[in-house]
Amino acid sequence: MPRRRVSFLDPNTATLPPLEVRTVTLGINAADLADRSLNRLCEGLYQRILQKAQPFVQLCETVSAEYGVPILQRRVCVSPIDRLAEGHNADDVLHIAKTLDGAAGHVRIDQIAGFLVRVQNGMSRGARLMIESLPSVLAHTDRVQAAVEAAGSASGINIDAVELLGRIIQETAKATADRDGIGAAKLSVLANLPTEGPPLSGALVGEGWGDLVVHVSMSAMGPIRHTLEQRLAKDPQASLPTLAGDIKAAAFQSARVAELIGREIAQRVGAEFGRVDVSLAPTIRPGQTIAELLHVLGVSAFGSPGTATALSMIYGAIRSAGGFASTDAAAEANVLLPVLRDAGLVSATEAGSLSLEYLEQLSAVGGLGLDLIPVPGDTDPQTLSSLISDQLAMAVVTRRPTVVRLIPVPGKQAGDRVTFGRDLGDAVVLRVPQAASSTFLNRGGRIPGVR
Amino acid sequence: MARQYVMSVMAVNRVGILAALGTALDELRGSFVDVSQAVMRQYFTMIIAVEFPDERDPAVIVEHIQAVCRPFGGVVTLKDPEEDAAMGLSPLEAAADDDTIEYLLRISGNDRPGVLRRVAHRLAQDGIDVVDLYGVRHDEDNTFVTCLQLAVPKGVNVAFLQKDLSLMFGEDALTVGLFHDHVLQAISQPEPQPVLRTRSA
Repeated sequence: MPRRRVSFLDPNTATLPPLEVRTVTLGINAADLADRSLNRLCEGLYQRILQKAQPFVQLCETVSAEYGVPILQRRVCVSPIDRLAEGHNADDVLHIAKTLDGAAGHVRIDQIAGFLVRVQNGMSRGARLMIESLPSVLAHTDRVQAAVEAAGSASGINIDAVELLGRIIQETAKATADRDGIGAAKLSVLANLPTEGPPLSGALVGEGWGDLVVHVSMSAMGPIRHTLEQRLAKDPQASLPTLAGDIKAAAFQSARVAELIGREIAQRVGAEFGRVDVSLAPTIRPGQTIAELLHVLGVSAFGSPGTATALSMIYGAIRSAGGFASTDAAAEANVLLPVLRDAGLVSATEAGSLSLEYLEQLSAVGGLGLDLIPVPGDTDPQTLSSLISDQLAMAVVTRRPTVVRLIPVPGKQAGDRVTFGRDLGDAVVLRVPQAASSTFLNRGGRIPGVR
Repeated sequence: MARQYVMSVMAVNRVGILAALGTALDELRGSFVDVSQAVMRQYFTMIIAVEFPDERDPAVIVEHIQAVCRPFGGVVTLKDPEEDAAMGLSPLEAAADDDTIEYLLRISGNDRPGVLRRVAHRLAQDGIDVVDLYGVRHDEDNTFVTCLQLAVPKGVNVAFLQKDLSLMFGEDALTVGLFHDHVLQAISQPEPQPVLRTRSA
């Protein structure tokens, strides 16, 4: 007997929110491919990615069409590249990266991750070599995402790695100066990387999984905005608890749809189902930015007083919604504030209501670090390192994951506009505070973790 | 042995009509198999798949139910599927559940003639069965909303169908939404989604 959904007959409340899935990530175990022969290693990697990712891409299209739910990004994460590359030289590392990029292009996936180096406690020779090869790797590849985990609450902050990364980020930007330094946008510095997945930008697929796993990320910006607009059209004076409940309901629906699609793809591709990332992230679709969402809630401009309060309400709502929607919701949920992808944040930067310092503070109320932030091209490496270490320090103390992606845009100054195209969009270069003292980080070593 | 019939009853809606109908069925030793009841404006309407003992004469059944419903101005129709089949009126073989996927099609906008005709023709092109249909017109602003529960044969390109319907009704400024039943269940029910047991290699 069909189930009648009579609520759909209500012309005011019946329309469904714009449901979609932000990312579907296929995690491929490649640990068995380690080989001293570069050719054998690369051939094995290439064939493994093609064999697993080709049906995955096809299934994403099939399931998306069948369910009428768009999938915005399809990604592959190969694990663990740092272990595969151990013992190889810099040229070999570049060759491995090009292999990943070629395979990703062949199967038409948007990003390939797994180029991860974990140095939160110390740096092996192989790890240093991988980090030092990043400017070349990111200049010669399009889809490869790289990440370096340099801190953790238990391990502390590896200042030697942070100091090195300031220089590497600057070199990466210079190596891609013809494309406004886009290489640096593909290099994340991380702290407290969740080990069970889903992968943070450019990181590992998770530990303890089998050979093949599918993670998904919900796309809740559109549904939350839709729900809030419907509520406020009916009741312009709606209270904050009511609006928080609406956000929770919309996030619940988004997480549920992501899980449904992810499980279906996992089952058809023969993979385990991993985690549902219930983080809130903007998309490049019109109206789907955090700044515009806050505007709907009544915050006049992103970065103005009240922003953190509103963000904390959203953060609390999506966390509780995720936990209720799925038993496989990821332990960590965040509000992603990537300046490059969020047209609303760009407008706030232009209007002068948003600064780097304020973005740093927002990590205390759910913001995920300093993500995709264009800074002046002449920012010196030591200042970059200091910005990174400040953000990592906050993550170490709050015991939350963080991402730092800084893009020194060659030839650009604070206030200049920069265009990266594709899915990154436009942005305005942010002003960077002057680093007053350079002796602190020069002392080097590792700052112990927080007990 | 029992014999199944499909019966429709329509009468002015008054308190007690269902009780009267139930009593009449009891007296005839009839038993509900499947039932759908609605009050449409001021009328009570019911469609029932019902079993009666083999020996019960259909004419007696209709006469008895009609007698019970007479105070309500009732009209009763009884169809015998076996008799219709013998006359060559067999319905098309229903597709097995495994061969179809359930969707909900919702169309809304300013009321105009011909919407249902056009959508039904388009659905028939893909062999899509409309298993339930309900809707309402709002006279105060001349708008309507209708929902069609569809059994869509596997292999039908649903994305193309959605696009086609949107194009078909776009120029009339009607809103068309096609939703997978699993999506509707996932977002409207608190129960966890069923998880298939899988093993790592």
